Amino acid sequence: MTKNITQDNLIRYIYQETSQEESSLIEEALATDYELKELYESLLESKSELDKVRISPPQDVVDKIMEYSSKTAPHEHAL
Amino acid sequence: MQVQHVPDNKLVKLYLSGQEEALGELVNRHKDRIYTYIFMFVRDTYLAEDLLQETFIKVIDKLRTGKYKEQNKFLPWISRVAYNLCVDYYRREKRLPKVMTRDGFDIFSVLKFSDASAEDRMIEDQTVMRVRNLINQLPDEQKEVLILRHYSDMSFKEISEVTGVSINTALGRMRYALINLRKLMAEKNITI
Repeated sequence: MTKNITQDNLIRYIYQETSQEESSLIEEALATDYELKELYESLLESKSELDKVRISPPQDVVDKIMEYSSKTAPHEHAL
Repeated sequence: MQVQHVPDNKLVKLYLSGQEEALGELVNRHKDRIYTYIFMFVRDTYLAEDLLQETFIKVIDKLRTGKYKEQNKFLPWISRVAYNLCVDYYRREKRLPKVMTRDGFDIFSVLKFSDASAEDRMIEDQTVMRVRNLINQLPDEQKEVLILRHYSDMSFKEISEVTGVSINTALGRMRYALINLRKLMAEKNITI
């Protein structure tokens, strides 16, 4: 595995927390380092599975939040 | 005014100047992510709904009292409010702590929470159930970082601040969480 690219750097890269310079170094390494690329793809597969989950609350929960806001609005706010 | 493309911080200002539709847009923009995040923690839809409502009520109160000062970080800020409410909820329930976080509360007691009645109230969606069950098989400390990073959009630095571990520890836990998740998926023949 490429010497200067740690597995933790890869995690930061996957979650878009690396600087542009770090990202470029990681991308270069991914193009040449098979072991690193394999780990990267494996981590991405897990992330993709997690990405499939997005659930919505019922509308009445949203309505209650908006109702609270309007009922408790400062006087000038409510006008 | 069209609020759909207005950035979060501008919406906050509009809301504080009296435009309720700005709050409506903020709620609509972030409700699914925050709800998913809370649900992954508590694994009970009714409780997740209550905590989501409580989160936004707290957010409204904090906005009105000038307690939001973080430029361009509205979502991580709401996530922290939600996280603290989850922790507070279980503290009120007097679940006995085993591993203490920075402020002395055991977040793992939250992560382990599940009972028969909660099981009955779980979401029926197969994908949600499958992913939730996979996450549930991870060690608690990995589960915590994974939920915080993936579903709440907190950075590793913010996670280290709320959980009291170093950034490197948080990164290591996340790495093992994703690797272990991949192994579990392979065992169960789950393909992307």
